[in-house]
This record gives sequence, C-alpha cells and structure tokens, in this order.
Amino acid sequence: MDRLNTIINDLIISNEFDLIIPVIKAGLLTLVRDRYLSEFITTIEQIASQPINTYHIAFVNFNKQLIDIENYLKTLFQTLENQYNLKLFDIQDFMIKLPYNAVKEQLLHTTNIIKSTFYEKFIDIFEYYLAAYASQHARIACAELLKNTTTCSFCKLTLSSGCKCVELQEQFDIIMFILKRLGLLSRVCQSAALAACRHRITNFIKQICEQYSSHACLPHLEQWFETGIITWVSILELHCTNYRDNNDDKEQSTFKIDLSSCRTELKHHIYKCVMNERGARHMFQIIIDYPESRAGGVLDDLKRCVSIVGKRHLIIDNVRHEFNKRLLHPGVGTTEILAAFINAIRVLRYLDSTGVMMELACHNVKQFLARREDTIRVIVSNMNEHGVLELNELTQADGVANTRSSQCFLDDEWEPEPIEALTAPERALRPSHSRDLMSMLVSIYGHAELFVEEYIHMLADRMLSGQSNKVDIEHEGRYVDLLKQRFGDGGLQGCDVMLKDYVDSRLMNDLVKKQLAHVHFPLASTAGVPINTLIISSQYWPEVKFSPIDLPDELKAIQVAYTTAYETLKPHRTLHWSPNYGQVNLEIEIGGKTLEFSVTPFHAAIIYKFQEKETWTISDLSSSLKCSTACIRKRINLWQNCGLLKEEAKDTFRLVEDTSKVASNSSSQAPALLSVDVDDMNVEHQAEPDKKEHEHTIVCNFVFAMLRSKTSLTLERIYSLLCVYAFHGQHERTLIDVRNILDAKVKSNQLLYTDGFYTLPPNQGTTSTSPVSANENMLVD
Amino acid sequence: MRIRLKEFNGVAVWKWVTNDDSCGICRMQFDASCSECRYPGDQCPVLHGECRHCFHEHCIMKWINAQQTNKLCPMCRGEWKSLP
Repeated sequence: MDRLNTIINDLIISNEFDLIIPVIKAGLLTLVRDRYLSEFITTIEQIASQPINTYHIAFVNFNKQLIDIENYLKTLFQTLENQYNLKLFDIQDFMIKLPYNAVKEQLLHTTNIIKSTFYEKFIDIFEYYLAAYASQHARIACAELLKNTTTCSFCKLTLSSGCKCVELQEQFDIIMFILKRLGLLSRVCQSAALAACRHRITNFIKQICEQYSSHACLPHLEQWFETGIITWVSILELHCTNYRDNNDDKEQSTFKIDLSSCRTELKHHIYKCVMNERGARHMFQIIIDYPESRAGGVLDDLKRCVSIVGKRHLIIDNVRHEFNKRLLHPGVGTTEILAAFINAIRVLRYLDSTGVMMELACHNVKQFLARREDTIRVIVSNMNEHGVLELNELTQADGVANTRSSQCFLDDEWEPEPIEALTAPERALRPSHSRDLMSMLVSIYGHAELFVEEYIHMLADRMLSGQSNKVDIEHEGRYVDLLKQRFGDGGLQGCDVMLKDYVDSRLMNDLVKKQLAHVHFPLASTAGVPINTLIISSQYWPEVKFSPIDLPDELKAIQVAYTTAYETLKPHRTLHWSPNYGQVNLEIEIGGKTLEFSVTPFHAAIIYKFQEKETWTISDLSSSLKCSTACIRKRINLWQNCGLLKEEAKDTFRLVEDTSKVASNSSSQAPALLSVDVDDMNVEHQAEPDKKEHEHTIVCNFVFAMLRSKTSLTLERIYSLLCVYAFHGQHERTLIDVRNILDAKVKSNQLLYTDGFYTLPPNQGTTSTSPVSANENMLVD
Repeated sequence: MRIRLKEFNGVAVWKWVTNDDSCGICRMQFDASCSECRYPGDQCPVLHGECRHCFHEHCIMKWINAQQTNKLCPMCRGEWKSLP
C-alpha cells in the first residue's frame, strides 16, 4: 500500500497522469492477489477443523482489508480530484470486480486451488453453519428422537441461555457476502452446499440412530429435512440469484442451485443413510425385538428405505453376520436360535414379501439348525407350549399359500423378485411357492415327514407321562387338523386314534370306577385310591415300550382289578400294562418325615422292594422284579438323586437312615420323567440315520441302473427320472438332496462327474447287470 | 419306611383275545382297524368263528356276502358260523 502510494506520488510529480489509472488497478490487483487473497486462502487451509467458528475471522479480516482498500481509494480519489481535478474510475464497480479478478488470476496460476483442501474446508464451513441452522429446526421436528431436549443438539449448550446458533447465522451472512465479492459464491455453492447437506444428513442420522430404538425416525427426519435443510438451501439459492442480478456474467450464470433436483437427491440420501445405519447395523436388535419393532415403526422405516434405495444386501449381510456372531455357537440353546430365526423370518418377510431376502439371509441358520438334533422337538414343543407359533399364524399362512400358487399371475399385488434372487444359486433351482413361516421351519429338514413324526412323538410323550392335566385335548385336535391341512392326512392319521384313545380312556375310567364300586378289592390298602388309565391302541402310537416287570402287590392288584372290569365291559379284549409310562403318586414315610413322590410304576416297584429289606444289589433287584439290570440301573438313579437310597458298594444300594437330605420330587418331577423319555427317545432316534441310509441306497441303486443304460446323465435329468420312478412324486426330496447323495458317491469313487454329466467309472459300467437293474433299464427307456 | 399309594395313573394297551395276530383277509393286525375303518376297537370289532378263525367283522361280512352259495371260512373252507 505504501509502495503504491510512493509510486503514485512519483507519477504525479512527473506529471504522468495517464499512467495513474492502470498503475492503481494493476497495483491493487497484485496486492489483493498476492498478499491478501493468498493469506486468506492459507489461513483457511491451515485452520484445524476443530474450532470452525474461527473461520469467519479470516473472512472478516479479508473483508476488512478490502474495505481498507476501498477507503484508501476513496481518499486517494478525493485528493486527486481536489488537487488536480482528476476524475478517475467508478470505485464501487472496481471494488466489486477486484477480488473476482484476483481470484480469476489466482486460478490461472494455481489451477487446483479450488479443488484442493480449500474446497474441502468450504464443505466443512458450510456444514458447520448448516448444522447450526438445522439444529434449530430439529428441536421441534425430531424432539422424540433427540434424547436431551433441553440442550441444543448442535452446540451442546442449554437452549435457554448458552446456545449461540442464531448468532452464527450472522457470521454466515458475512461469509456469504465475502464469497459474493470474491465471485466464488456460485462456484462454491452448488457442489459445496450439496456436499455439506449430504454430510449434515449423514452425521445427523448417525447421531440419531446410534442407539437402537424401535421408534420410527423417517417421518421426523423428513420434517426436519423440509424445515431445516431445504429452507437453508433456498436461502443460498436466494443469495445466488441476487448475485447474478447484480453481476451479469454469462460464465457465472451457469452455476446455480436447482432446488428440485437437490431435494430429490438429498431425500434419497436420507433413505440411504437410514439404511446404512439401521439396516446394516441394527438388524439383530430389530429381529429380537420383533413385535415391538414393527409396532414402533422402525420396520416401516426400513421397508420404505428398501423400496426406494434397494441395497437389500446390506440387510442380508448384516443379518447373516450377526447371526453367525451371536447365535450360531454350540453354547446357544436351540430354543433361542429358533425364536430368533422365526422372528427373522417374520421381519424379512415383512420387508420383502417374495421371501428372497429371507432365504438368502437365513440360509446359514437353517443349515445350523438342521445339524442340531433337538431342533424338531423344539419346534414342535414351541408350537404347543410357548405360543411362539400361534395357531392363527398357521392357518393364515396356509391360506396365503393356496392363493399364491393359483392366483399368482392374476394378482395385482404380484411383486417381482428382487435382483438379489439371481445371486442365490440354491434358490434358483427351487421355485417354492409358499414361503410362509411353517414351510420355512419345515424346510430346515427338506421335507415334512420327519417333522410330522416328531410331532407324533411329542404328543405321545405328553399323554403317556400320565399327567392328564398336561394335555388340552381340544387344542391338540385343532392342531392336528391344521397339520393335516398342511401335510396331508397320511402321516397324521395315527394322531386321530391317539386323541380318540385319550377321550375313550376317560369314559372307560368312569365306567370302571362304577364297576369297581361293587367289587371287593383284594387288598384293603388300595381301596379308594383314584385310578386312571390311558388305554391305547398300540398300532397307532409311536413304539410304546413294554418290558413287563413284577410289580408290587398293591399295584398289581389295581391292574388286575381294572383289567377284570375292562374285560367285562369289553368282551374278547384284554389289557397289557406298561410299567414305563404313567404316574404313581406315593407318600413315603421315613424317619418321621412324610414325602410325596410322583414316579412311573417301574420306579415305584423299585422303592417298594426296599420296604421288604433295606439293602439290595442290582442283580437281586433284577431277578426279583424280573427285568434286566440295565433297566434297574437307569431308574434307580432317581431314588439316589432324591436321597432315599445310597450306593454303599458297587451295585449295592441301601436305604438311608439320615433323612435330612431327602427331598420330595413332586415339585421337580418333570426332569425325572423327561430323562426317562429322552432315554427312550434316543433309542428310537438311533433308527433314523439308518432309515436315511436306506433311502440313500435306494436312490443310488436307481442312479446306477440308469447310468448303466444311459452311460451319462445330467443332474437335472437324474432328478426328474428319480421323481417319476423312485419318489413317486410324493417325497419332497430336493435337487440339492440328490446332488449331495451323488457327490458323496463321486467322492467315494463310485461315480464320475465331468462337465456336468455323471457317469459310471469304467470298471463298474461294464459289469453284468443284475436282474433288478435290468428292470430299472426298462423303466428308464 | 412305609409307602402309601395315593394315586395310580397307568398306561395299558388293549388287545383282542384271539389265536392269531392279524386278520387273514386284510392282513392288518387285529389291534389295528380293517382297511376301511379309521378307528380300531369298538368301531372295527373282531369276529370269532366256530372254526376258531378270527377276522375283522367288516372283512368277513364282505367275504360272506360275496359268496354265492355256501358261507365258507376263507381259511379252512369249513362252514362259517360266527361265535357270539
């Protein structure tokens, strides 16, 4: 400035007035460009992002420098005009153009200046002020989402006194003014403002969605977006248009903010952010929290986001990941996994009615559950007891399944499957029509037979346990009907007979009671004891074990009396009693204590023996009760656990004298009964793999026979042939099952697999065909 | 120690008192129903003949009705007379 002054003085002295104007212009331009502007830019670039509120000081400084120049010019012109009567140029016009020209020249020097850190800083600055602005609007719109409503969500100061957000608005006006002066406003606005908005939305949603909540946030966010972001952008737009009016530069007018396109883009950004925050992070909580998460609205949020943004893979990946991380461990109970799985099905079906997301996300869980032995039991017991699966859900699902298949193409509500369906190879091969809850659960095992079998076992178990209050016959009846609707009558026919047996037994008990009232009991001690019997049709129940033993006289007398009464009521028929099922309630007096026990007749028989003498060996017991030692050993544990018996030496048990530790089992009777049941079940379950093995051999024999006549076949062809000849169209064997079987054979070198064709290895293909396979050849041809 | 029986809930299987396991006509067990019935027992009783052969009532009646002339037991070809 001083140098410029001396130069001008020199010029005046040397009377070269013509040069004054260009010198002033050039001098000021260099001054502004090389000193003020670069100073301004470096300060902006160097300021750490943390105390952003110092930014405006740089702007104010720069503004002051410009005003200084203006003032200097004014005084200079004044003196020139007064002393030399010299009229120079229009100061105001010059001052508007000066910074703009400086920036333009600066740009010529360093091309990247706007794109570099300087530009990024602008996004920060914009976002800072936008945040201040938007936070004021968030107070009303997002009151529910912000936990603390007394402090400003932006500056964290109390609303009543500390919050300075309104003052920040004034700072922003100054910045806008200087930017205008610099000619940078439009240049910066479009992209910086948009970027700032995007940042703001991202950060705000991050802040709101950090913790899981079941409440909907989209409606609030949208309101906040309209009142906060959009008004802010329109203020910017206003600045820009004003600016263009003043300074009609053609180059400049191409930069402007298109509000409507901004709005769509930013709105889309909101959905994307919610998706990223909720969909990709909170799926597990949403699933665990299911009925609430739907009622609260967070699911509806996600549904909207999915329909707008897509990106289903985010949700799918999150569900998979979280399930793997939290549930699919050996230590987690099947009940918990299953409950989560069921909720996941519900949630994902809600988000995507075609079920593609569900299948993709739950594939792992299904495989994991399929490996657990108790899954079916848990499913079936949950169905009845805990109400995880409600009855109406089963019926509803069934209705949907029916309409799906028939009206699928007529329905207006038909939805195309999302793009992710293509990435699921195992799905593509199996177009399943009804992907409702029940079929999902059943599909864990591939087909329904095992499922039905398990249900029958469970039903039988509960009825046989002798706790008559445990079975709600009406409820079971409804259930059997529902299952029949779904799986067909075949496997469930036995259930009808079982339920009928149960009802008939009650009638029979009443009749027998009347009959017994007239007869004298052989033993006085059993008179008046309530007697109930479940009389079953053995052919229709899952294998009931009969290992007849020599029961104590009291129990035998009851059974004989009952059988006699029954035989008079039902001619030509008799009863066989099972000691393993049912329940005997005993009152045991020992050491001045009276205890109640509920046990099976077998257990009762054992303890009755100790009434005769206090010490028994297992072998003595077994010969006395006429049963195997293993049976005794299994059951004597119960009495040992109750504290009544003590194992003195190996296989020698003695009645305890000290009764302080003896506990009644009537409160904890369930485990005792269950343990027996489980033992029995285990024996039965061992048969299942054998059965599977057997089915595999059937499949393999068919395949070998086919290959002998056809030499090579594709998987699909094999499957379709098997469907016709081996499965008779009833087995719900899937392509995958068959492939697994075949792959196993390939591994053991019994088959060859090349280019999608299965063939027999050379040595086997030429062997002579057995009569059976000749028969098979005929079928294939 | 003294044990007192308070309540007895037993489980028993009913059986037809017959000299055979399954019906010679439908080859089903007597404890199961004949092929046309849903429920065994009262609804599908077993008939004893004088020749000591037993059949499901439904099965033997169908057999007898299908015979044109003599009512013969399908097992021993003797005259069929059912015991009460």
